[in-house]
Amino acid sequence: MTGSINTFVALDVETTGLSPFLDEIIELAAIKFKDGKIVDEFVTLIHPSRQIPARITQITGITNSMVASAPRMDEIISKFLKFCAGELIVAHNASFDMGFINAACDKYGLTFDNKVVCTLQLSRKKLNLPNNKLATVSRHFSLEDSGFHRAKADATICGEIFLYLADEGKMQDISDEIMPEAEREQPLVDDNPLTVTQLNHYIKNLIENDVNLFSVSVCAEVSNFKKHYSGHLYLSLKDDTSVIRAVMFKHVAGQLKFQPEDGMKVVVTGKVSVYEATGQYQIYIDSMTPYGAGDLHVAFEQLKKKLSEAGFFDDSRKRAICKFPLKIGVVTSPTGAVIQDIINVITRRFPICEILLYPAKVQGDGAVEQIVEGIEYFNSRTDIDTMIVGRGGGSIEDLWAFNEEKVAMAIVNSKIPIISAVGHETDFTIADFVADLRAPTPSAAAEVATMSNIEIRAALKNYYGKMLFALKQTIENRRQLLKRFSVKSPLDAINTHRLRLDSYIEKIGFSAENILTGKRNALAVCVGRLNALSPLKVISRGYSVTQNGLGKAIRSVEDVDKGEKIVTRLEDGIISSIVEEVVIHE
Amino acid sequence: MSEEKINFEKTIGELESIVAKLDKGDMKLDDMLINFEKGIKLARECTKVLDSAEKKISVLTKKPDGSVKEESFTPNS
Repeated sequence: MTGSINTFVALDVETTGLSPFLDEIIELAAIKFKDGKIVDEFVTLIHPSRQIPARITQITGITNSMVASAPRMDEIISKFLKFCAGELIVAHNASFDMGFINAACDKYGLTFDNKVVCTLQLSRKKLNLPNNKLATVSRHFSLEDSGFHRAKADATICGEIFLYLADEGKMQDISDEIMPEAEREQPLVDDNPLTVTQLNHYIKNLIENDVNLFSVSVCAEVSNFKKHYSGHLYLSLKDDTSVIRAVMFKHVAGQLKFQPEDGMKVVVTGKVSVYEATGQYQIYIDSMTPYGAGDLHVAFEQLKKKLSEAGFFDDSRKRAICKFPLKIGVVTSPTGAVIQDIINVITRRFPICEILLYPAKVQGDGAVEQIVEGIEYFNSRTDIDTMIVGRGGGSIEDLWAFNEEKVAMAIVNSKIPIISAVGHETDFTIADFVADLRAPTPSAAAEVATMSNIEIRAALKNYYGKMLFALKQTIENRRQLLKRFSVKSPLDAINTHRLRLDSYIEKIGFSAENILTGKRNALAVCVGRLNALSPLKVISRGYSVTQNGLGKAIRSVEDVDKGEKIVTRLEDGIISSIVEEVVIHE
Repeated sequence: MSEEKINFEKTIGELESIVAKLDKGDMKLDDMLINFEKGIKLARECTKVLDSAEKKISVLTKKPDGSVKEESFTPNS
């Protein structure tokens, strides 16, 4: 039988894709020819274990519902092998079909070792056509084309092409045309090169069909983060040694509470796929959370930093709270304890104050918008003195509306002073930071918004007392002044002057005394000194003094003449002498 | 009532400034008496407002045409 073309089986398969390893056969047709006539057929749809891609349905017309009730490969593979047993197999681009048949056999531990002839290769060899696609070759032989690629039609045409080729080539023995084993499993034949688009498409399918890559979680550092004006986020995810591109489309990026930043460590979940236009594989992110911290926590810190840097937390920006508000606007939920508490406190403390409630959702979808609407509504009026914006306690998620930038900006832009009252004492929200006053609880907000009735009455009483006291004080002062004027007389003045005079006299006396004492003391000092210098004192120590007749002390020999009478004074008496000689020392 | 209400903060403010002026005590006695009388009158007015207070609580409801209506509010807690 080998080499004979009297009997052969024309074969064609339709598959979910191009890869014999990844894809599966969804339709199998084997047409048995004998002496140029169809004598038998084995045609069946096969239920694959995966969905049929839309583009395959487009090419083949085979839908998922069509194969839903078809047998599975394991049910028909043995029957098929039996049908083909010993026959020559003919197929167009046989390596493709054989790749799938062999892969299916491998799976069930079977072998398919029939001789195979490829009409594609045969056509290329025998015919001189621009290409050797099945449709081209069938047109060459004026064979009908069903349009859709269905296995039975294609297998039949393939068989007929083979008959024509054999007839034209006067082939009685085709042993030369038998495909070598090695070629039977080459899915990509160089005679039929792929376009780049096809290749990228193929790679994309390969990656998209990998169950592991369909949903992966990756912990990485964000870099090259860019927010496109379309709302899509483009970024790279990296670790110390590798990087992968990532994209987060607008509809999921819009759900992000925080703003990814370069250098931020995140955990992303998404699928890996290929952007066919560039052949770039990347992660399509479905969700992103900051690594370590909760995303809300990060979002809170980010917005806090942003608004703080914008100066919105500065005390200098904050408006003074009205002391005696006559109308207070409250933005909160109409149900629950918050509004009740506020009403209770205000009506107790300052009942003349009117309360206007703008009912708003304070958590969940629409809360942000309603709170903002409330703040803007009260600002559209001119009679609101103070606003209280708040809600009761809850989780960070419950309080989240008050951490949204929209609410914060509505508070910042409000002309009316706003008291925030969100959650419990320990809960701090962005709204609290931008509000003109932060109250720890709604009741406290109502307290700080109003002055107590009792306090006002006490203040009024105090004012009354002060006025009365001031008046009394003044009158008393005037009376005293009057009294002073009425008591004064000329005598008083004289007495005053006299007293002053007396005091002057006394002062003068005292001064004179002082001077005298001073002089006296000085005199005593002088006498003392005089005594110390007295020549008599010197004489008493054994010296003598000589005087001439006129009583003048003789200091030099020139003071005396020969024969002059001189007197020498000693301590105990005087000596009278006559000068005998005067000698001058040379 | 509502006119008195509107003047409440102003009235208290006026009263406070009179008290401060009187407290300084450098006023002519005649002026002082005039201010004193005025202050007492203002304090009485304030007390009257407080005495005549009636609580008013409204809830705002949005009508389909976008306008907002005030209705008396009784909280249902």
